[in-house]
Amino acid sequence: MQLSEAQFERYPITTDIYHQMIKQGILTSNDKIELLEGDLIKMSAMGPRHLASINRLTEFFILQLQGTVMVSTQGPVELSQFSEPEPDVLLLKKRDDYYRSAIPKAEDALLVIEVADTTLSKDRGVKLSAYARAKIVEFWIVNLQDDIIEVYTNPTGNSYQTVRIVHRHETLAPVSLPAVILEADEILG
Amino acid sequence: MATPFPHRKFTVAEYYRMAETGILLPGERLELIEGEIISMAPIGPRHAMCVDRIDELIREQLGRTVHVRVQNPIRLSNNTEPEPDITLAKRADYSTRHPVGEDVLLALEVADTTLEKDRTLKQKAYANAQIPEFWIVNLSEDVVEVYRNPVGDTYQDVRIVSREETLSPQLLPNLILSVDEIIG
Repeated sequence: MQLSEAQFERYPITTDIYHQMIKQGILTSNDKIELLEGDLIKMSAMGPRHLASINRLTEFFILQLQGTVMVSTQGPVELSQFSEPEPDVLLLKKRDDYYRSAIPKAEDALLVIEVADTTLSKDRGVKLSAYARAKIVEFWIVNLQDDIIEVYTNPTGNSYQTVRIVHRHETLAPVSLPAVILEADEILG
Repeated sequence: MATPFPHRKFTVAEYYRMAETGILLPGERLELIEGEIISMAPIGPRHAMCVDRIDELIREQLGRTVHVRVQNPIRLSNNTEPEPDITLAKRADYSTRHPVGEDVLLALEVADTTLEKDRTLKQKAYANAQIPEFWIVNLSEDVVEVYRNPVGDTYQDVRIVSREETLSPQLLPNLILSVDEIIG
């Protein structure tokens, strides 16, 4: 029997409970999960193209930004009491302590990027709405299925007001870092 | 709030560790079903009275010949530990362990707002644990749903017993309850 999700209420995991589970050793580094809307979601295994795209973006941003912005790869960002995802690439306001004192929050993020091959519906669905609700200013989905980059800006409610599709041979730059111009071909590989 | 994606489930051992370390607070009404920590609905007065009435009826008829457990845990697997409204179990010393599937003669849930959960999630968990019989006292429709013959994760035989009828658990034929008494 297939259980539909509406039929019972799963106990929502808060960021506080999540961190206590890590501290108490209930969750370990073997648990490849992220907290999204109160659920500890399993992360999909990453294929080589996905990994190459993350590495390409990371290298590009580190070289371009020269330490003026922090580049976090698959690190956490706290969005709410119930969501602490680990986006593929995260550009953060620079902090002298490298966020040692507390996990970065939504207002610290300049850009969130998810690379999607098999995870497109999750990235466009629950992740996009979580980022929008937290007022993450800009969200990119590197859509490897369709060979495009989806650029979402102007978060309002559960979604983004502005969506731009960037194709191969085009360029793009984060709204908060207009001088940092990337070529879609470089990102898509 | 739950998302439709594959998520981390928990074992009974992890669940207990969460309680011991204060991650889950004592006042929270939760049960662990197939690795999911499930919030239990608050118990309204009609539900509460129904459970107490059934408890009383059973004890009047069976005395101490069976173990009657009210809203307490039973351990069905390493990731399932529900708290049925009423469990009838073989008499044994349960001070060092909770009853397991094979101790249980009957599991009973009183359902007002929880009907879908009891018919799906609970039925599946109890059938999987080979609990021989499961009753849902369905307060929305004033009937008792009797599930027997667990095969895989479902019960093969389902019978609806209405007002003015009586019923007995298969393994406790001496216990005779009328639907009118149960539902009140």
